[in-house]
Amino acid sequence: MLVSKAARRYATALLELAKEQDVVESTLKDILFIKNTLEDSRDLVLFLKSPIIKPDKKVSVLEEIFKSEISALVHRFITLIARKNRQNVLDQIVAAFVEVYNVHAGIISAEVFVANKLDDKQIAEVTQKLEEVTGKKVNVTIKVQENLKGGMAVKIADTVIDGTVKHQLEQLEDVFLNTTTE
Amino acid sequence: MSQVRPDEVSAILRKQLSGFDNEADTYDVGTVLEVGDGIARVYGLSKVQAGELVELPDSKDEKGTSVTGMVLNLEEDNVGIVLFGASDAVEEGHTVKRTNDIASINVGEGLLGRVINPLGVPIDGKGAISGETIRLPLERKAPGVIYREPVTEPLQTGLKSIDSLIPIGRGQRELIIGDRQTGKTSVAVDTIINQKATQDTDKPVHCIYVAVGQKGSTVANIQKVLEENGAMEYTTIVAAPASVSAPMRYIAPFAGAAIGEYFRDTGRHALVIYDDLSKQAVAYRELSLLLKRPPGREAYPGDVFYLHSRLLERAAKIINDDKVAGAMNNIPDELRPKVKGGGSLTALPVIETQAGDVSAYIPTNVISITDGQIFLDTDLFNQGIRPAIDVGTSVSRVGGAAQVKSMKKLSGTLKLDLAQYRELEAFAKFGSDLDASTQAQLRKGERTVELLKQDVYQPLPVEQQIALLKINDVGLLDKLEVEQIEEFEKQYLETVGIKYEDKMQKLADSGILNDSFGDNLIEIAKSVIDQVTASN
Repeated sequence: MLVSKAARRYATALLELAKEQDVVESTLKDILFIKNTLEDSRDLVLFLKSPIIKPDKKVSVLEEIFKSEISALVHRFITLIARKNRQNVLDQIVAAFVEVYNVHAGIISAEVFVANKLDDKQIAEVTQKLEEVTGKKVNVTIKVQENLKGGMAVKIADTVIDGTVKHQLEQLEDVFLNTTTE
Repeated sequence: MSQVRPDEVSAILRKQLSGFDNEADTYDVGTVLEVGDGIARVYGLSKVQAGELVELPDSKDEKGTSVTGMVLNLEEDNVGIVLFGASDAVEEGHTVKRTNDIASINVGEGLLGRVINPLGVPIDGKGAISGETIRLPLERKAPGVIYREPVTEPLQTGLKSIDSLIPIGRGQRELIIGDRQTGKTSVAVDTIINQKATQDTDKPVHCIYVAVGQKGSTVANIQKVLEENGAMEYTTIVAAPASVSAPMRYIAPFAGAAIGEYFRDTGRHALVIYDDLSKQAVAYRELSLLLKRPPGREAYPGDVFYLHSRLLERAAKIINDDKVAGAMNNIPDELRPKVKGGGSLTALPVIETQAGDVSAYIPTNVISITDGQIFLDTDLFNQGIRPAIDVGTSVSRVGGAAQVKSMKKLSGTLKLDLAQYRELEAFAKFGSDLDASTQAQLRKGERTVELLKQDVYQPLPVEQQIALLKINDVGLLDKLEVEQIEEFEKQYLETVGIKYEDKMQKLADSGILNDSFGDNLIEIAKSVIDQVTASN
């Protein structure tokens, strides 16, 4: 997701404050709760982004949904966002918070693309191998794409390590088409 | 019918496959956020370099070619990419792949005689570029001061008015400027054709013609003219016609410069024609505005001056010392072992003005960058003076040092005659009311102007030019009517060519017209004049 500058700044500020008050883990839990809520309810995201609905209305809705579930710090944070009229970037802020938290905790996330579903043992093996290679804790997301035909590709940040059959076939095609034989 | 044997096929397949490794491939990617007007904004690609080529494999068409692009803007949260192909094949969410390759072109001897696009892909239907090629970057820093030498060798254009009055030297940058339909391209093409004579010498000039934003038919026509005159075999055409995207038109002159630099850095001589830079500036303006760079004067971006200055600065005469030249700055590793001194790259940029306005932004910029300019004038063109060169406002700042000796001697009086003629021209209508000396000056001026006229695609070797100007210098042409000059020129050159073949060759080699040969020429001229006047 493209995260705007404003969202990144709000997220960094929240993390700094949580570190100061030593409530990083519980803050993360609350943020993940908000993130899941937003991801599950497209209506809520659209509601927050809608320019027609008045800001006061958005504030009261956010209050009602989250108040009972979250800590005082995150509650104050949401109120601040509402007051600053930034409800429309709430989804970006929570995404940015997860990003900055991961940097803080030394966790990297990796996407693994495979052609067939992996069982738990295989996932554990992949995770372990990736952790070995990167020297960091790795959050693995598995994505199944049948057109890869076989093999596996791992995407960490912007870098892809591609060992899929599909990519190898493409390379082979390239070799045949672009080399001349005398 | 011949057939390929199956075992041969499998041998080739085996050979191809033997170099193929199936290890995991590592590359960097990004995602297209938005696309439009030939520009894509990309999220990701965090390690990409400015000027790097990127690939969009998701945009493959049925022929298997995917869109490529070049990174121009690196911003905090996104990357601005210009697309070389059709942007309607690119969609939001498509993957963008780094190639780790700063925009480059494959350059080699095989490019001569070919028509290519600015990315080096042949578009003349004659198959792949043959022979060894080297990958050279499109953008390369010009050679530093210590690797350069003053311009001393002439580059003959074959045009009497240019070679005599506005001489061009190898390594010079001479602007060809004028309104539309004044013969700018013809001057450039004549110059290319005239380089045919250098191909048999030990210092041949290789030519590159860069067509930017021209009509496709014009490019095809130029190719035809060059082929007919046998000039295509030492010429490369880089074609970015009006139909291609703005990024292609923007990089085309840089591609031409990269090809020229290959010859320049390997100790040979090259001539590159950028036809024309005003259209390139327009393409760059288009890109810059779409990339939301701030517009300046005439809506051109702030760095449009640098765009042209860095391009033209690459034209240079390299020092004639292999050791010093070998240490030249910004030489790609692949080229380094081949580097030799003494090469040159001459640039003839073309600028089209609107209604003769040379004080517009782009023309003033390029005039100030180049070592002189050739002005082509609509009025002269319509009067039938072709090439329509305005010798009063045209200058060559460094070419004088490179001019052939005897030509230099003749050009002094020629310049004076023409200047005086221009001053008196306004009084010409008073005719016989003028005093004798004024009339004589007018008479001589008229004949000089007539002598400097030249048909298109008929370049003259420098020794013939000298032989002609010598006759004008001694005033013999005054005996002829203006209409007889063309006939005289033809007969005179023919006679001289037959009678003094070896002496003309000597003149061509040494560039010195000695007195005895001068007298011989005058003698022939006299007899030809008698013939021409008698026949009328």
